[in-house]
Amino acid sequence: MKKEIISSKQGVTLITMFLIGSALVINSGTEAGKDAWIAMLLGMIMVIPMLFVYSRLIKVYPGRDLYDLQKLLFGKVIGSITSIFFILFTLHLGAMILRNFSEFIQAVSFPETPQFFTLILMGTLCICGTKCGIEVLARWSSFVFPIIFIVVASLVIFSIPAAELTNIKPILYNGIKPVIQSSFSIFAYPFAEVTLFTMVFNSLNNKKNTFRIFLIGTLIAGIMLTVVAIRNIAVLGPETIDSYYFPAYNAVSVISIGNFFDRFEILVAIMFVVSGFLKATICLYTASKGFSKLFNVDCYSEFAAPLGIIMFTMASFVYENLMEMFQWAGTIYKYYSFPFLVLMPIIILIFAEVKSRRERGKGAQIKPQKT
Amino acid sequence: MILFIIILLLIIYFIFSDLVPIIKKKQGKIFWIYTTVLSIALILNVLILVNYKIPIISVALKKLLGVFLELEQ
Repeated sequence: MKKEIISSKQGVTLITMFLIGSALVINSGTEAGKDAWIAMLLGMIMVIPMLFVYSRLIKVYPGRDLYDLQKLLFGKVIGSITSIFFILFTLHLGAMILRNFSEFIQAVSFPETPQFFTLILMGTLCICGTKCGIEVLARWSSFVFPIIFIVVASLVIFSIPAAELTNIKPILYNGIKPVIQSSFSIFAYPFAEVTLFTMVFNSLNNKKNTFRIFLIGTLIAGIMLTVVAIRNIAVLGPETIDSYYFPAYNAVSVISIGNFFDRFEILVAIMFVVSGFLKATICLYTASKGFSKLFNVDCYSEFAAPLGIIMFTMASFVYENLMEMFQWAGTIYKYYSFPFLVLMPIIILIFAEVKSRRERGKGAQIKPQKT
Repeated sequence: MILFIIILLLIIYFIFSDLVPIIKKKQGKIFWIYTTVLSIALILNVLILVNYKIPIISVALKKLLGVFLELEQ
């Protein structure tokens, strides 16, 4: 199998693009109302200890990803069973992102077009992305990220005339409880989803500063999402924002420069397509990789197509409708994802640390695995 | 029906681009795994075509989680 290498900078852009993926358009943690931006910051801070866990998982056995670690630590049978759960989780996550995307497209652009058609197009693109490999995706993300950053920054600046800062006041009027509840939702979606990178970052060329890569990527994405959340509340107001499914899209639609340049919301749609594609592709990539490791096959790209077809087919029955999609993201997802994003990585790290210390104690050196 | 035909064309394309090289390289193990997964994908699409009511994943998971946690139904 061809060795894939990604640089630290590409790692940061991959994480940032992955995190802003669908979160830029689909908000979670709406319970906090006008304090959603505080919940966003809190969710970002809450994920920092987990970033340490994820980066340590990559470092403890260099060159081995989460799938390898599960087989190594839990044995072939239990390791394979836990790997199957992770593969199903990543496939399901990919399907949910594709569904977010198709629902968004149907709601804002093509109300008559069957969602399955959008899913086929996006899913095929994800299959192609996975077949190209993580190196190509990383290079692509480092090219696209500056454009997305400039677009987000420009849209925020252009919305300033329509923004009323009094909309975000008074701060913590309803107390801290709804903010903390929302921050748990935001912790699970999108921040803790970077767990998937424990299955990607064995391709990093410099594994020494993995934590820094995780941290910088998360901070950039977190700050961008916080600024967008403040913009949405300031422009739409706390009462109106709840009536919109895609507040970022609606907040941008009020921008008008000199009564001549308007309809900037298309930029939000484009951003969503670009970053959502990357997030869904990373999910398919990790699922394909897990599948190849499960059956001891060298090349993961062989499985991209069949798994990709399953992923976008699954997307058509992952939710009943748009309302259920938002309810799932806001209330259920944090419980559902907890074992995969928090519990299992911590258990695997504890086992890995104990085993590696025992091996070191015996004088055996941990050999980095070829990727 | 049109969507199913698109899926079918996509599957045929992947058979030629992926499966034929696998057969040429005589990678039996990959061939069987690939064919099985592709068959599952095809079966799912046929079920959607015949309007079979596939259980909604989020509803099923919500019920499952409801057993362990007290969630609003």
